[in-house]
Amino acid sequence: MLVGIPAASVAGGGGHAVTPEAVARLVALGIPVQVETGGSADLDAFVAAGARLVDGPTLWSSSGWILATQPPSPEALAQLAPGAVVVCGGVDAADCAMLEAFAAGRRAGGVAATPGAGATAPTTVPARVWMPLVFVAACVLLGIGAAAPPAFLQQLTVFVLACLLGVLVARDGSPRLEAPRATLGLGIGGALVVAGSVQVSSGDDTAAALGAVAVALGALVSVAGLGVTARLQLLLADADGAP
Amino acid sequence: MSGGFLTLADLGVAVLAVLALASLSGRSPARAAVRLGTAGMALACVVALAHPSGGRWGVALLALIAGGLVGRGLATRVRLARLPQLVTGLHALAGLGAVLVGLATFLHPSGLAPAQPLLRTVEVYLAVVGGAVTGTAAGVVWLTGAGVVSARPLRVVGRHRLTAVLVAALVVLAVPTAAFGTGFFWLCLAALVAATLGAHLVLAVGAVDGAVSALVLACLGSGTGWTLAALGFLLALDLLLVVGGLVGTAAAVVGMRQAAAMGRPVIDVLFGDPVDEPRRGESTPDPVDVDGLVRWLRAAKDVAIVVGDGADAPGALPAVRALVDALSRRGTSVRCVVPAAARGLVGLQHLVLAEAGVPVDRAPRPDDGGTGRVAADVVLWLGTPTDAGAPTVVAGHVAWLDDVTAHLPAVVDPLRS
Repeated sequence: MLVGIPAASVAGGGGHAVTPEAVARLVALGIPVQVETGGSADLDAFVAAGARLVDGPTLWSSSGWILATQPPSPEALAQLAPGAVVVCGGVDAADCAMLEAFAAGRRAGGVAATPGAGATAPTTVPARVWMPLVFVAACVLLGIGAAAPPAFLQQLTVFVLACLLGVLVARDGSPRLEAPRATLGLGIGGALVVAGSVQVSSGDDTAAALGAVAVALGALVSVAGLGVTARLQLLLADADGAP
Repeated sequence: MSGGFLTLADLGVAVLAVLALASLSGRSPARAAVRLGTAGMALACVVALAHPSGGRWGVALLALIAGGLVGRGLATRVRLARLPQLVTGLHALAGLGAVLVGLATFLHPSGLAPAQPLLRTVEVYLAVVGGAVTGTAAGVVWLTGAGVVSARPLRVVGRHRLTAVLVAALVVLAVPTAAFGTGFFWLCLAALVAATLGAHLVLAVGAVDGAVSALVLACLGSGTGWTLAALGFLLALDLLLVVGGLVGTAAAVVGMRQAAAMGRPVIDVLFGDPVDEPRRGESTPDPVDVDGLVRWLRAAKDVAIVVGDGADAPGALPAVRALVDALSRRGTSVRCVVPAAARGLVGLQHLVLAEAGVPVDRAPRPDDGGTGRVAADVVLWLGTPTDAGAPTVVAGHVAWLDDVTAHLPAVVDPLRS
């Protein structure tokens, strides 16, 4: 089993996926390693570690295992030996087209070039998922609009706008803010007290008692949420070095 | 108080709530967030006292004081590491509160509820079912955290069929609830079915630690928010619509981000087959080569410490801090990294580390353009390694210490000399 380590393109940083120290360990285990010339790395260190230096085409066509930082280019794919395994980073959902082309090329005994496939994939994939959802949502909204009383539609407007605000508020994804955001959400979720209080003066005694318990629960949730947020807030300030 | 003033006060509460959540964003979080939130809730209490008529405001005041005192006690006593437990408990109580308000409104529709009986029943139903599902799910998570229920995913035969049956039962029960004027029995039955559904959903995911628990907590947050919004529809309180929609969506965004950090879609985590995460004490790591590790650390110019699962336990943190201090004193550049997929409560790990005085890098996240890569001469991984959200490590040497409290002091002592 020959392990090949190609150099990344200049745009990809020009490095190799494996450090010379790791190459030395592979060689010590009796695994032959070949490293592509070029790139920005110190090739002497790889040679000292026991690797052989080869050019790109030789590396892609003769290695059984390829360890790379980037997905292979179409040219490199075309040179790949049958049964070779490529281990690389940077493959995401957008590269499905590349992988499909790879698989098709394997079966046909050559790689059919699919220019532009990788570039169009990111825009088509989300659209394919979201379009039916948007359509269904629009139909549901139209149905509600036809049947529901105007007061309900007014509430729906407020609710949808509040949801959009929620997305905007949570847009800063800094992980240190997310715990205080969760507890603050509970804190203001204590607005439940208002819902409970509407029932407190209800003519039905059971309903009034249920309402009073709900007021107490809302107050509990609110005070506890806000209190904990205040403690987290002090920690955040300490971490920032702010007074 | 006249209706006009009440509406204005509602608007004030909603504005303060939005401002409070909004001021938590940004580079340096304003302390204003807590002040705005507190002001908003104080105003909400005034509104709550103004609503009851016929001298009942005394009851509301007593309930507010009692709930507030208990809440204050909880907030000051809880240890930060136990915060997820408190948060789930609060979600359970909020869900219960929503169910109570829904039942009360069904028993005796207030003047604010919609006049059309069908619409009112549907809204009551949504509020009660939402509150029961969220509240029970939160309650089960709480019990799991308390050690009463096993944290292992419960493997139910025909899991999805059971979910489908429960959901279908909820839809069917809506008919007698809406059709008969005295559908209270059916509504209570629906609440019980919804509670079963909530417990079933959470037990099948079985999460109290590991990256899944943070996602479950985010889902509970959005469930609570949307239940509040259902109450807002029911009682025609725009205030609850705003607060509920805001909190619910914000929590949902956090959940989606957590799922992205785990590299799995939300649906897959909640309804797919549970992935066994490696747990403390079950893996048998190789014996730690302390001498070799010390040699690497002495030679390294920069060191990255990945604070993984279990390494942020209160007993382990002083050792981590001692290591950071010892390395910085040697002139080594050292930083701590937290895996992108959080556990327990998203973002809590950072604050627990900050409380212990361990400096934390902004965690690598998949969505900030980086690939979550940690590059250093030596990467020291503390705690149990998890696949979910683990950063890609590019390093000369990678070492892994499973039992931090046992092994780390032996590494720190030679570095000090």
